[in-house]
Amino acid sequence: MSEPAPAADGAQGRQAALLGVWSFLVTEMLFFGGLFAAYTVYRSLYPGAFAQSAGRLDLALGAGNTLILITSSWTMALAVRAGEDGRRGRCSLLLACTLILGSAFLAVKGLEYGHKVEEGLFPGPRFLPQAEAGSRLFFALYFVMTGLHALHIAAGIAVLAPLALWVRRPGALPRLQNFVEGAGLYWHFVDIVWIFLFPTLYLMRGPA
Amino acid sequence: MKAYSRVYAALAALTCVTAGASFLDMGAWSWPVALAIAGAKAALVAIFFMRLNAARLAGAFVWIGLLCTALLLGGALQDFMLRR
Repeated sequence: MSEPAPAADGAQGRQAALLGVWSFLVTEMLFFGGLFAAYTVYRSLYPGAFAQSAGRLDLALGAGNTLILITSSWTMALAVRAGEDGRRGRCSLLLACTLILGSAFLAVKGLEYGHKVEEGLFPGPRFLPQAEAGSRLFFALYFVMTGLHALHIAAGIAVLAPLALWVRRPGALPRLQNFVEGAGLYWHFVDIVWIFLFPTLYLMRGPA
Repeated sequence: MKAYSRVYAALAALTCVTAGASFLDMGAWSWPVALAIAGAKAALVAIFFMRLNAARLAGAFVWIGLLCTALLLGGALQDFMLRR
């Protein structure tokens, strides 16, 4: 209790903030990694059913969503740069673009889910017959993996919306810079998860 | 700034490549190729957007974390795969 705690700002504060966010992201790697491992296991058990079920996903919407998220990562990176340059209006605008693109992603996802529910591919009363165990597993994994990912996007949007308004206030940006950068790291990570989800779920349509 | 635009263009291009490659019949090579392309995209995001190479302590933390995750999942998977 004799020495004061180190300041939260400055270079040391930034390193601490980055370490904190990255620690969280490592736990998220474990989280999603487990789901990818589950996919690997079940794919090896039902290769034909998984490949055939993958063909029932809408590749164009999946690819479009990938491009939407990649663009949102770009605007997010630009937002962090704008924050570092002290340009709070530009930073706010780019954060807004990021969350709008994230919302577009969710809208497309909702559209896809709607189609799947209509086709009886959602786990529930009208789901595929018991005999198609492999296909049932594929779609269960599809909804869990993309659903959890979509929740992460929604959480990111919920954080970016007030942040985009907050940075506009005069004098707020220097104090918020670490937070903006941390939010950026989270958003890029969620983009990376989708970068792996897209080929895993949508593109593995061949027998192998 | 310009570097970011180039990274973005590369990411978009790689997305088109991986989507197009899924239409080619590569047999057992499909998933290593897709994984390699996805890995390249992830590396681009991590290095240029997340500035992972510039972070010192955090960077070491990530590598160790990735190693531990790989050990955990790899161990479980190889156990499963070799029992069949």
